[in-house]
Amino acid sequence: MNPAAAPYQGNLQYAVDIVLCIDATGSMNPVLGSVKESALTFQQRLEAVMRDKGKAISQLRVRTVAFRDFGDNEDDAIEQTGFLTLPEQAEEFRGFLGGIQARGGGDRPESGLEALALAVGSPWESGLDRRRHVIVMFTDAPAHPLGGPHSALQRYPAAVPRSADELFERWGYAGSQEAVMEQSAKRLVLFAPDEEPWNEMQEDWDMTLHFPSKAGHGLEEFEMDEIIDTIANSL
Amino acid sequence: MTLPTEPASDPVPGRAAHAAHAHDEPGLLTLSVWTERRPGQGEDAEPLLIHHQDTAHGLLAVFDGLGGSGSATAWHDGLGEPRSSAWVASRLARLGTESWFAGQYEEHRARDPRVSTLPGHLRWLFRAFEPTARRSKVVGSMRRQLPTTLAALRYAVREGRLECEAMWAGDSRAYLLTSDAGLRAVTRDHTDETDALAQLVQDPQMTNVICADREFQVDFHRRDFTGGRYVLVCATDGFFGYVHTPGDFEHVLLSTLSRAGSAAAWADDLAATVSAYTGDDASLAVVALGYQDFAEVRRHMAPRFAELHQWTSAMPDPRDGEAMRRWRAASWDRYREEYEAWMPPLPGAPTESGPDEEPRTEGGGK
Repeated sequence: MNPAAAPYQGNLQYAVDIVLCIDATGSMNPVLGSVKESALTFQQRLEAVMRDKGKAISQLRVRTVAFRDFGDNEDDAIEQTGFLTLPEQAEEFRGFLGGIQARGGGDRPESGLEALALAVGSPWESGLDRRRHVIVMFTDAPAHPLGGPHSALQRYPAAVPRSADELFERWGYAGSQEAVMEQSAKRLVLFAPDEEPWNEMQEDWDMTLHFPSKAGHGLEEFEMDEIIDTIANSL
Repeated sequence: MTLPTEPASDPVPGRAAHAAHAHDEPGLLTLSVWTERRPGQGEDAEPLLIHHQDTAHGLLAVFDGLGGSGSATAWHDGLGEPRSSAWVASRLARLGTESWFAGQYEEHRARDPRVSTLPGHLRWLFRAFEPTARRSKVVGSMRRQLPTTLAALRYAVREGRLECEAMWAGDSRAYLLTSDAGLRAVTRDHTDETDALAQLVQDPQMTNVICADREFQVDFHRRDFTGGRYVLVCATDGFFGYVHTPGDFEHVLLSTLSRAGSAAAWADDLAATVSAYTGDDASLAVVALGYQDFAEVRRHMAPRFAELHQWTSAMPDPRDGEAMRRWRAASWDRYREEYEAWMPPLPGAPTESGPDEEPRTEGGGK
């Protein structure tokens, strides 16, 4: 290496927090199986893709929010972890994913917006350089609107806003005062059908990528490599 | 003439390439550097250098195709190689900028509203290409069709006075390198974050880039200079986005200049140096006006390099994160005032500059 370049090497790596919002209703078996299988290799695969793009990761943390439908069964509508640091807590990550069973769901809309709201409120990394706060939504269904009758249920999370507008404010936009997401760090990656609210969100919310899927097919058309590549491109 | 005319080195087939070119004649020294990180996949276009001998007008420019928002395959070249939307976009912007500049000297084209302004010409060109570009399956507010940055300096020398106009979209930059105050930016990145050190630390998303599927703008900022000797620089973020502080880029420029024996050697060393530290494709264009030869440029900048080198030699061990943070902040604090002295004002900010220094925006896109 050229000696003059030495002081600059290894500078400014990316601190990546990822929240995986996973629809765990019955039709989602295909992608759920794929995500489970990839749990232990996720970090190496993402780092490899990032390295190929010339980006190094200083810290990778993953949080999972699995969701079904408050209207069907409020007791199992949300299952979640805190942030797990990879690779150190990869076994814990795999263990949580392994315990998620694709079941239930009731009517077609699911509680995806509740999961998204919980993801937005995550305890994101705030100290390291080049932070990336990425929410990845996996679902094959539309979502119930916020503020509906489910919000009165006893186990409905108090942290979830009562309207889509309020959730949008928390996501934020350039110059917004009420955002909880950091403007330069946030990213939203949707693997979701071309239906409400996802198809509106992909244009109205900034920093969003949407990979439209076939509704009701469990995202079976997606390979894990494609998912990781899309996440890496969002960083 | 379109410069450079003499390659200092050529790409090696099958390997991540670099191309460095230089031209040195009394009164006019130019060099360009282009490097790619992955063989055959470089998403920066080769820098553009044009100098019109008869009128002493010229232009230097760089173009950085954006691989994150433009990763989809847009085109297959004559050999069947897939080319990304970012790869195509930077070349298209280069072609458009060159043809626009040439058109300024052809009366009938200069009057054609489709091509008389740079953003108008780019809009026309990008829209003409877009229908043949394949659309990505991925959509969303981050996605762009044919996204690229542009940073250019158009100049004219009249009676020892330099008329200079910066034109840019995105986060590629244009500068003037001075012997007393160092590197001074004359563009302002299109990002929400406006502090150059914070931009380094955050790597923020751009708010405006040239593309085929959205509105875009090209900002203009005109300044005139006197003094007789000028060094103009345009660079993509592969050069200045992978260093510790904004001042490190100037150190790269001057350290390579100080140890080179010719313009070609300077270009070669810049290519080797940036390849060793960058994580991205990188491109750079330099035009030095009013110097007798390369040796005079080096002599002229030597005191500034000595001063800068003394500052940077105090850098702590990069593995000590807290010490590095403190040093970065202190270094930027010392460097910032001169670096920003010729920057265009922030949008909406009151300005004390005269009418010649007012930035203006020209829109484009669909």
